[in-house]
Amino acid sequence: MLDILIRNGRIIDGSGTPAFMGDIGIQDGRLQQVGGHITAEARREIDARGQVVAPGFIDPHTHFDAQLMWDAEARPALEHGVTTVVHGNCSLSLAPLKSEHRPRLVGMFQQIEEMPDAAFNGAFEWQWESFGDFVKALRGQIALNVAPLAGHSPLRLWVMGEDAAQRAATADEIAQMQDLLRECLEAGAVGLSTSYVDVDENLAPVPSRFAHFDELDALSAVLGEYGRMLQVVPEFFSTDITLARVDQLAELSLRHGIPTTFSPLFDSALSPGNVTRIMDRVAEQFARGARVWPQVQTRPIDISFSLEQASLFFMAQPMWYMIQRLPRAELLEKLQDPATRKALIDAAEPGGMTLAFAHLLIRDSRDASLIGRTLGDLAKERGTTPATLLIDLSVEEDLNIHFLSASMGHEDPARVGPLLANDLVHVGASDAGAHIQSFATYGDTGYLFSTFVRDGGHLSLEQAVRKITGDTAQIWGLRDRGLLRTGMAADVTIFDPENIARGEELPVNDMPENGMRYVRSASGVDTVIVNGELAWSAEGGYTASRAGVIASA
Amino acid sequence: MTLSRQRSFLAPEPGDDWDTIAQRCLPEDESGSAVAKLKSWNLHLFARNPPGSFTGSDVIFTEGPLEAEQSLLPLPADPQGG
Repeated sequence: MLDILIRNGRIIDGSGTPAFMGDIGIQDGRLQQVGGHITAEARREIDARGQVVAPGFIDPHTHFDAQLMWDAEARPALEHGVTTVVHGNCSLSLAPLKSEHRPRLVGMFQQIEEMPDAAFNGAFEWQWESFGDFVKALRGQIALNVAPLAGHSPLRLWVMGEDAAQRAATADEIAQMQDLLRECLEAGAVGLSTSYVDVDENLAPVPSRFAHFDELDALSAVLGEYGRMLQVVPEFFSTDITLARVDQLAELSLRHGIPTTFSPLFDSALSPGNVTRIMDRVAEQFARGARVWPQVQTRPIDISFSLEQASLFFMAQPMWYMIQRLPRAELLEKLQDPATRKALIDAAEPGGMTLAFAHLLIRDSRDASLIGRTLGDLAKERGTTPATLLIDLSVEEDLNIHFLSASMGHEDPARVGPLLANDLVHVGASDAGAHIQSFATYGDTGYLFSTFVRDGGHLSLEQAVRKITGDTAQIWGLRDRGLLRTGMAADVTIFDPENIARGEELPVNDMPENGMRYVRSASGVDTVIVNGELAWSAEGGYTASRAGVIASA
Repeated sequence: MTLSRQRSFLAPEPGDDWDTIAQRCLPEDESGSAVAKLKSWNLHLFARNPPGSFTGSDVIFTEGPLEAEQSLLPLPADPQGG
């Protein structure tokens, strides 16, 4: 008897080949039959008439490292159809990590990924130092699969202590890091992540940035022993530096036979030719036999914020950024202090220029008449300036008013669509689980189908499915996943192609200690199966299944 | 497969500073002028604190831009201050 029988589905198998009608049988966590009309009985039958039956979606760029320790489902990623996540990106992973370095790493996560302290301290018990013990802590406890990266920064911290963020490693230290990375890969790490741009909570470069090229080369040699991935965060704000990184990655890829990926790559109307330059170089390097996969997100860059939390939006306004880090009461006091207010407003509106905040929309307010209005328009009506109004409204609403900076880039489907459809583009870079107080990083897969398949027609349904399933598994070397093929792991997402979309972005208070984050609910996803077990359905919600595994490369 | 020409750069070696890099990549130039040239090609390292500092993983350009470029995002050159 089968465990699950999916009848009458439109099967899109993740390879990019045309959809076909048929049934799918699942037994013992595996796809027992794909296609045909199955007559065997099953413990559970799902009628997928009118729906697409696809491999579970794979998200290659997430930061669910901590969240999975207290939220086995990585909500709401699973309900969007995501059955496998890569975490440990951007040089940051929770292992290997000596106990004395935990506060240091948490500080980096807080700064870089905008994750609150409560997500780490008190929310779970740190039961590991080694990568192997970290993986053990996940096994049997997760509802979706995890493909973990080892972070370069904790690797350096383990070997060099505080010197990791001070200097180059010695030859002996590099050899120790190689051994440590080997241990991580043996324990299930799918690769190594590093970062060229990130800073810690003191705005000092993270340890990985102190590594000279010979160190990364030595670590890449270890990746080459296993054929595993090198993920980097390049200086994405500069085309010339990104081009240099593409060349460096190509060199490492060719020398060691490894796949590499960099994220993010954005389209921007500010510099329409720059993405073309980068993609041209990527194509040249692929033609040489190198593998340098640019990760491109589907959604536009929108940043939401309230003044209560330090937000990415204020990165270019250091004074605002720093004041947001004050405790709540002190922040409110400062916002009402005339000298501080003047300094903030002068910083945002030098010489009376009011452009900085004029475009901001009010997205949530207790005064419904304000929602959807821009600060620029409201400020004119009230005879004040946008920055002044931003402060006044925040104080009036006790910091519970949220603003939206919409479409800061990557917002034109006519430009982004062809980029996503490019065979050399790796669809990813969702950053799911990070920047939770700036934007919802969930639902990028739904947005891919709604905007670039249904509305724009830039990709066929089969291409879009392949981009987030079969291609992803192939790029990362994930065995057993990404395709609907007999004998492979039964990760399956059933969705309505006419309705799949990302839901509205909403602030919710479901983090540890009642912390706030932005989320999006799924729309159009019907059923999500992980390793042959029902993990979520539109009808019944989340189940108690913990069938997720460490997805091996 | 011949690669198209790109802006040349190097990765710093342990112990490098502006002087040693200038000596290595602009040996014909007088030291002060070589360092000034080098710095002018690497303004991305001057938007950080302390200005002009670099770490082992930074890219150091050894010539000026081949094409004018604009930031890909409305952010400063080094948004996180590094």
